Amino acid sequence: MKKDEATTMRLILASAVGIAVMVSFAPLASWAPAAHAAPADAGGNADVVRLQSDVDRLKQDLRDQRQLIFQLMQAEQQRYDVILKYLQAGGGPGEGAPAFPPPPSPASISKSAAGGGEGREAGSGGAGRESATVSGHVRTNGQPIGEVYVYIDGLRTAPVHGHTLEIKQRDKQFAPRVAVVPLGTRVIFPNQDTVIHNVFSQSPGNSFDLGSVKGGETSAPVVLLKSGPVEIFCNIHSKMRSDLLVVPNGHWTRVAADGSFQIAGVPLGTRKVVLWSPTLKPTSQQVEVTAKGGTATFASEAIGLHPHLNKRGQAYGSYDD
Amino acid sequence: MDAVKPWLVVVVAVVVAAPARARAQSEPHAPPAPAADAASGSDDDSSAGEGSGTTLVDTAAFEQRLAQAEQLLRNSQPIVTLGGYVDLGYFVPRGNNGAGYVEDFGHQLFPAYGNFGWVFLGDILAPAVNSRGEVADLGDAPGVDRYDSINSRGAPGFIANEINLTLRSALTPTALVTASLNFTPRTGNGFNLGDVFDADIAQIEWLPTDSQRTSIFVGKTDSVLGIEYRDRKSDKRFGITPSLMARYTTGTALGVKIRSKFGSTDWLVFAAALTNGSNTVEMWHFYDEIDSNAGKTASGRLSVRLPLPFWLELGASGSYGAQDRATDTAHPMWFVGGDMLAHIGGHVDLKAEFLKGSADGEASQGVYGLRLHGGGYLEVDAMLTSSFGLIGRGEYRDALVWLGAERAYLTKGWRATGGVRWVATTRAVFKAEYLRNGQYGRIPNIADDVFTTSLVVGF
Repeated sequence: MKKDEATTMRLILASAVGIAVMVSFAPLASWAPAAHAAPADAGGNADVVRLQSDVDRLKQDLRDQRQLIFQLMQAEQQRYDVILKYLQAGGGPGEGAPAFPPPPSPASISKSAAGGGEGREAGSGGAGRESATVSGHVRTNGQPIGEVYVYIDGLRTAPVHGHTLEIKQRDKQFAPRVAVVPLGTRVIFPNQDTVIHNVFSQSPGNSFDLGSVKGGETSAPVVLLKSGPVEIFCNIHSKMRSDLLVVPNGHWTRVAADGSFQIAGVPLGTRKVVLWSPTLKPTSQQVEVTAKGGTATFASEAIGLHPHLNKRGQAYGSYDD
Repeated sequence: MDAVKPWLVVVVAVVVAAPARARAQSEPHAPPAPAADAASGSDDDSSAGEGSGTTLVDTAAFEQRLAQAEQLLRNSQPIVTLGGYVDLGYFVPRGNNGAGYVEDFGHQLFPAYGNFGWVFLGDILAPAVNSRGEVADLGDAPGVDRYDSINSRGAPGFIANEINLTLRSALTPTALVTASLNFTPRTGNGFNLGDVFDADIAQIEWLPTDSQRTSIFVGKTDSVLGIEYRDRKSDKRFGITPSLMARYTTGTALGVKIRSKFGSTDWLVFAAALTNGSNTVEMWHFYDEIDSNAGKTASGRLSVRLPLPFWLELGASGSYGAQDRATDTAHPMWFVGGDMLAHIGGHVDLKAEFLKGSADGEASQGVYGLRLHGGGYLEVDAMLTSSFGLIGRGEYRDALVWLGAERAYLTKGWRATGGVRWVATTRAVFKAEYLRNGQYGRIPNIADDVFTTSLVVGF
C-alpha cells in the first residue's frame, strides 16, 4: 500500500513538473517546424544544430510526458481493478478486505497544466492577485459557538504533499474529534486502546474502511482527495466519531467565541462562503468580494449529532459501546 | 520591410527562455507558494486544462467514476453477515476426578440435613473448564442419569469448547435479525453421537426511535440481570470461565425485551423483559425454554453512570416469575442483585456482582428448590500491554439446592481465579486460567481445582 502510494505520488509529481516544462516550451514547440524550414545559410550551421538539439529535447519531453500520463492512468485503472476484485470477492469490506490505494490526483495535474494553480480566474469578477478580507458573524441562539469554521469554496489549490494528521483511538474515542485539513492530507489512525477498532468512512469521495486493527497498531494511511466534510466512525463502537473538514484552499478560519470571523487574502470576485460545524446545519452564502472586502452573516441552526449506521448500513444495536 | 524570419524568432525565444530555465534550476529549494496565497487559488472548475485547448485529465470523469464505484460498493453489501469463532482448549483437573462435590455419607458432617436421602457438599459447577461453564466431570451422584458433556474422569485433555456461528441481517436499517448457533463436539454414548448444537440467540431487535436509544427485542434474547451476560461468550469474555453466579444470570430466554438509554451521555439505562422462564443457564436445574406453566418471568435492570473522570456504572436488577419446569404458578422464583462496572484508564476493568435468590421447588413435579443466600464476585481485568493482560477474580457462593427429600446440595464455596490473556491477532486470542476452589463453613476441602486454556479464533 505504501509502495503504491509512493509510486503514485512520484508519478503525480513527475507529471506536474513535466507538464509545467512542456507548457513553458509550448511556444517553442509550435515554432519548431519553422525552425526546420529555416534556410541553413541564414544564421549559420551552429544555430541550426543547437535548435535541432532543442527541438529533439522538446520532442523527448513530450514523449516522456505522454508516457507519464499513460502510467498515471494505469495507476488509476489499478485502483479500480482493486475495487472490482473486492466486489467480486463478496463485497463486504470486513476482515482482511483490501485497502484501496489512494486515487491519483488528477487535480494536481490539471492545475499544473493550467499554470500551477494560477492560470485562470473563471469566477466572475476575477482580478488576478488582488484580494481582500471577508469578515462576518455567526448568530447563535445564546448557545456557545463551539467548533465552527468558515471557508471559501470554489477556489482550489493543488493538493498538499507531506501533510499528515494523526487521529488517535483512545478510550473508545477519536482524538481529535474535529479537525480541518487541507486537500491531499494523509491521515493515520493509531489504535492506542487495548480493544480492536474498525475505522471507516462513507463520505463521498473520501470513503475508506481500515478493517480490524488491534490495540497498539496503526493502519495504513488514508489520503483525503476530495474537499468537504468527512465523517469517520468505528464499525464496532458506535459512539466513536470524528468529523473532518477537508478544505480546498487556505481560505478558512475558525469562528471566534463571539461569533465573528475574518478570512484574509480572498481573491476579488463572487465567492462562496461556507459555514461548517458537525453540530450545525451546513449553510453557505455568495459574497461579492471587492477591494473593500466582503461580508457574510450566518444564522446557525443546531442539528445535533444523529446516530449513524455501521459500515454495512445497519443500526449498531443496543449493546454497542 | 522583410518579414521576420521564423528561425530568428526561434533563436530569440530560446535565448529568452534559457535564462528563465536556468533560474528555475538554480533555485531548487524555493518554497512552494503557500496554500493561503490568495492569488494561487484557481476557481474550482472541473474542466481544468480547458484553457490550453486540450483536456489532459478529466477530473470530473474521475470523480464520477469514483462516486459510481462507492455507490456500487454500498449497494453490494451482503444481505446476511456471518461471524463466529472456534474455541479450542486444553484442561487439567487437579483432583476429585474432575467433580466439584463429595457426598456426606451417613450425614456425618451435617446431621441437620438428615431428612434428605443424599446430601452432597460442594458446588457441582465449580470445576469449570470453558466459557460455557461445562465442568471437567459431573461425578457419579446416585439416583440421577445426567448428560455429562465432558466426563473427563479427572483426566487432562484437549477439547473443542465451542464452534459458534453468528448470523446478522437487517430487515431495515433499524431492524436487525440475529441468530447465534453453538456446536459442541462431545463424546457419544450407546452408539449415539454426543455432539450437540444449541441456538442461544434468535432475536429481532427493532430501534423504533430516531435517536436509536431504545431497542425492542423479540425472540430468544440475552438476559437483563447483572452485567456478566454481556461477556458470556468466549470471544467476548476477558478470561475463560464464568463466575459462580453466571448460572443464574447469563442464560438466554424466550420472550420480549425493551432497553432504553436516557440522558445526554446515556448515563441512565433501563431494561425490562417478559420471558417464558428465568435467565438461568440451560444446563442448570432451573431452566425451561418453553414454559410448562402460564406464569411468565418479569425481569429488569436499572443502571446509572456516575459523572466521574472514569466510567463507573452501578446497577440493580431482579426477576420474579413462576418457577421453571413447574406445571403451576404456585411457586415463585426470584433473584435480586446489584452490580458495578468500572473502566479505569482505558486498560483496567473492575467488575462486581452480588445476587440473592429463592425458589421453593415442587418435588412431585421433579422441580428443584433453591435458597441462594448470597453470592458474588469481584473481577479485575487489566491489559498490561496492547496484547497481554491479566485477570484476577475472587468470589463465593452460599446456597442450598434440593429436590424434595431425595437429595440436597450444600454449597459454601469460594473461588480464586488467576489468568492471562494474549491477543495474538485481531482474530486470535489465547487465554489460560487457574481456578482455586475452596470451601468454608465446615464443608471439607474438595480438591477440585482446574487449570484450563482456551484459544479463540474468530472468523
